[in-house]
Amino acid sequence: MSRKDDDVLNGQPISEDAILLAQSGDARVREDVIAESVPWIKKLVRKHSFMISVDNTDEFSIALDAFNTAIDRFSTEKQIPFRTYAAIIIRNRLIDWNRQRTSVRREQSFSDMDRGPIPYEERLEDTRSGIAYADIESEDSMIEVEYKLSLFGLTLDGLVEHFPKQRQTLIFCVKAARILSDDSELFEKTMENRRLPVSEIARRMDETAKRIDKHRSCILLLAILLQSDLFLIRSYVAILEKEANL
Amino acid sequence: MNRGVVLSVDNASMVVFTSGCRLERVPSRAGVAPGQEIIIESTKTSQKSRGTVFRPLMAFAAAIFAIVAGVIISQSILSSRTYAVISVDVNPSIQFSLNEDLIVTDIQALNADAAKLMVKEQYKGLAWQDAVDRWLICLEENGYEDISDVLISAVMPAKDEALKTQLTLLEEGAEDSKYRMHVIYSNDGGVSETARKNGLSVGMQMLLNQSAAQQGPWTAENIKAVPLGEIIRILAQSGEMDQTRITVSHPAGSHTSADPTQPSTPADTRPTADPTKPTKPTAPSNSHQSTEPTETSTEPTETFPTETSAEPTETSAEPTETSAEPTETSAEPTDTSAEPTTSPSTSFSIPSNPHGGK
Repeated sequence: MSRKDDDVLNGQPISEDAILLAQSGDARVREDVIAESVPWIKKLVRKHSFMISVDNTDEFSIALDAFNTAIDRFSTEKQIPFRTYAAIIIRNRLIDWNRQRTSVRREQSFSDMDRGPIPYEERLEDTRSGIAYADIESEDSMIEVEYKLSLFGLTLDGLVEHFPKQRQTLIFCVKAARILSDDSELFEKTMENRRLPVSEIARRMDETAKRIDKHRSCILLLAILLQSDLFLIRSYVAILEKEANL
Repeated sequence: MNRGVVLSVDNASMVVFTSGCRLERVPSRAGVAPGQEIIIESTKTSQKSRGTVFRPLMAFAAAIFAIVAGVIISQSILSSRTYAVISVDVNPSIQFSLNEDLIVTDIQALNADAAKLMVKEQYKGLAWQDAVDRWLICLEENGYEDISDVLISAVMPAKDEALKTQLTLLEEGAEDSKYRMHVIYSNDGGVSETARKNGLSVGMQMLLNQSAAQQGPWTAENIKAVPLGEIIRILAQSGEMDQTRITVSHPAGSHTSADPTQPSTPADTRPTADPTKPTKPTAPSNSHQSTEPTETSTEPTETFPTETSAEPTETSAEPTETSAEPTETSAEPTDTSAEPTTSPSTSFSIPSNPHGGK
């Protein structure tokens, strides 16, 4: 992992060996890593909660807990800097806690007030949550997708506005993304260069480079998703391809 | 029912990759984490539910907009509608249309000289007094320094008090000025219409009506050639400011009230008057004196009581015969002052041939 990668998404260099040691059960190293990261964690909490002083707040506790979880779940295979990985985990937890707090305020009766937060497993079983399928592990895959997009200066929020609405355009993007994701070498090269090989894809599709370049963000996202472990998304794309006889 | 995988979650919204391979932003839900597949409302359902909320709001907003637009449009129509007409007769003469706020909304030049000097944009939006002032200044600057008589005439609704008061004040206030301001007005809206048809200013039309009522010699054609000072002195100065009764106070069936264009008829009826009646020549006061001194000096003039306007039926007895040969009748000195004793208040002299050599 290069130093350049470490700088992405609040990523600050931290020894991956220390994380691995902490994962293996070295409590002292874990405490050291956490202690060293406290100012950075506080900074993250301040950013997400818009509070100046975050000491002794629920948000800080949740962030510390999320950081501890990140240490446990971190994997070097994903090639994501630890700080980047931990930052996304902390952000997700803080958002989830915030939404949960808002939801409790809206929906819970007074008799439920002493129950405390609903355990995650219970929430998944709740039919009102509208969750069709829950895979906790897929969070890591999503973090990877988000990280890879960030290498190209893209965010999911920004992509929503520019994602094609017309089916024909969508099929065109899927076709291009499939070419990119199926060729591992080309995909790796793309990730390494952080540039979409527009000409190469255009040549393979017998299309103009201009059209490929116009939809480059969509093609990149679809290719990254197709390369990820998110099998649900891959199945959606496969169904579309089948419908379009690609 | 639509499904989708949550890609990212924010406090208020989530980015979802739908089963149709589209990226959508949906409202955030508690307990949903990235990577989970969720059931999302279809776009149509979402639109429908949004429609049920927004449609009444949209209808209400549209209604409010329609009301506001209606009020604004009606206000603009009302404000631009002509409420009163004021003419400034100096020769060149000009006529202002005023809205209810007595602001000038339109200007009309009544002769070629006025058309040369008038720039509409300079007067629109001014209070009528300012517009009159500006017009007089404009005339002075363009070589009309010897203006002495100014006839300000107005046609306004009967209920109006503001303009009437302002006109009175104008006349009173002009006592010290170098102009002799003569102010007349009428509440008869027909005057302005008749004036328009005759190509006269409302002031000149009022004077013509006055002339007709007094069996004067002027018609819509020849009155234009008469110097303003003369005609004012003869007709308006002696009368009241309010000229309304000339056109509207006559009994029904009287042609002067029925058709405001008729006032010229009495002047033309003079030949029907008994030519044997003695005439009472006076000094000619017609404008044509300077151009045709001999003719005017030799021809006798007539004295018309102002009160004859109260009895217009006498003069309108045979309008068709008399109007058929106006030149003949004008050649003969006649006197139609049937009741000279009834007109002690004011009298004026009119040359027997106001047409002059025409």
